[in-house]
Amino acid sequence: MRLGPKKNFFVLENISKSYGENHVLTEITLYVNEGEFVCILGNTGCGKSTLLKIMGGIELPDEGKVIFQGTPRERKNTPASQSCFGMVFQKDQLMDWRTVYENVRFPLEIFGVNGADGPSRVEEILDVVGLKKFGNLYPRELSGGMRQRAAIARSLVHDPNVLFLDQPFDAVDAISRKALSFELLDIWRKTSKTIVMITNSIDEALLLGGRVVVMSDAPSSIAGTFEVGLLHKEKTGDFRESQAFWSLRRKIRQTLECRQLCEEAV
Amino acid sequence: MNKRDAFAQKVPSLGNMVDLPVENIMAPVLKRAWMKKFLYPMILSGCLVALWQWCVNFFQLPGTVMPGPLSVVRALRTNFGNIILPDLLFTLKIIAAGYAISILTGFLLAALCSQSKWLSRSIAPIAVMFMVMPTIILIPIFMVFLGFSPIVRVIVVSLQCAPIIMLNTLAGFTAMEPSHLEMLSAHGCSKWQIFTKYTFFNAMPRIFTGLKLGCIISIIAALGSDFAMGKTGLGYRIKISSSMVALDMVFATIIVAALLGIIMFEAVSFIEKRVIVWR
Repeated sequence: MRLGPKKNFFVLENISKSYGENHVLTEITLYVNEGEFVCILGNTGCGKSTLLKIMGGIELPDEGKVIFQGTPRERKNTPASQSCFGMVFQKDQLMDWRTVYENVRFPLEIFGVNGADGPSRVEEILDVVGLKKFGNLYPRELSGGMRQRAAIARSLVHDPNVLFLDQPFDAVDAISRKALSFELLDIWRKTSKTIVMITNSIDEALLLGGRVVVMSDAPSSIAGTFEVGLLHKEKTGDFRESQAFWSLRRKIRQTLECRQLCEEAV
Repeated sequence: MNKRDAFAQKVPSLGNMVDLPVENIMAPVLKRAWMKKFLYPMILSGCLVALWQWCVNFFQLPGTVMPGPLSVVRALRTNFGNIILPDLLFTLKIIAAGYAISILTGFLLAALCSQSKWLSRSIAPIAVMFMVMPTIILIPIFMVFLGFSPIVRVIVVSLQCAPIIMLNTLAGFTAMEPSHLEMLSAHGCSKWQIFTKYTFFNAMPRIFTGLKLGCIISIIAALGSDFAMGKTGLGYRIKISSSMVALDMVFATIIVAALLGIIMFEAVSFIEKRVIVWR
């Protein structure tokens, strides 16, 4: 067990963002503790990807602050500022001209961890995601699920503190999706990383997240936060049949739908 | 070899079984691929040549109207060493020099233009202008300054070939996927890192498109400038032979020029396959 996880490890304060006339995010405040698995849930187009991009430093907020470990983020990304983060995107973003091994090694090249333990580190992480035998293949030779595994391996290889996942399993078939979800849960348990994941599936959010943050439709703010709490520990196959799961599921669904109805009424 | 290993790895349970039969299974397939590429076109060309010879014989066409393939081969055999080969070497030198200069300037200009939209917008129309201009009308301009020097032909070949290499390379450099750029930004990559680790490789297929087109254009431009000036070169040989009504010689030279083009194009394609192994 880790001792004393830091509270408010990653903080978003009053984040607003708009693209021209289009207001995407308004006044979003979110606290993430160290070692927490937070799922952000919202309907399509509600700006949840934008929120994650702001967290990962890809986009800058118009207003508000992003604070990591007590210090505000720099405005420009550098390898030094980004080496604490790992990111998995909706599409895998593997580079076609690199083999799986070389793709996974990419962050080490950028962050300068390319020392003696580089190769063994890559091998190790490929083993974790079950791609050890496929290191020499090019991305086009892999299935969608395997590509996404490679992308996950790439996000973990430099041992980041925080992992951002933007609907990572959307491009994956249903069976791989479930398997990958459980593997991600496993990785989280083993490595105790802080994970923020975006999803549009309530079940996935409940299965993975220790806390589920529901976003309203654009211009979005946070509609509600739900602690999955204790349930977290006993997340196994029959977790979905428990009473607690269904009542929580209903509540989240209501929050999502209620917001939709309100917007329509206005 | 790599692919077979990969396949054996994908199906670990079959690993041992796969080892033996693969070669036996693959052999006819490989043969068939070879046949498709070379044998079928050769059969067709053979039939056409036979038809050609038959027509010449049947209609008793004189060599001044239409030489038969046999007399073309005869002309090629008697004149290759002493007449066509020096011309071929001369044109080859012009092509090589012009192509090399075009590759260098094309890459350099593309790299510059990729850094500034303003620059690429101002250079692009000029590049297109030189590319579409007929070779023959460029020649007289440079002959005013440089006379009959072979440098004129090299300049003309470069002027026509460099733009197509530049425009394709530029298209490669600028065709970056926004989602990939986000991934690179998430790693905090510098501009130089983005270029060396992403843009350059991403542009590779388009760069080779440019190189292949440039190779064709440089041959066309070199032969065209032979036509327009000078007393050597394959183009000149075709022109002079046709004015002397030595049609067998014209056809022989055309065959040499065509073979030169095919060999150059295939050479660039071969290099492309060696470089772009990930496709």
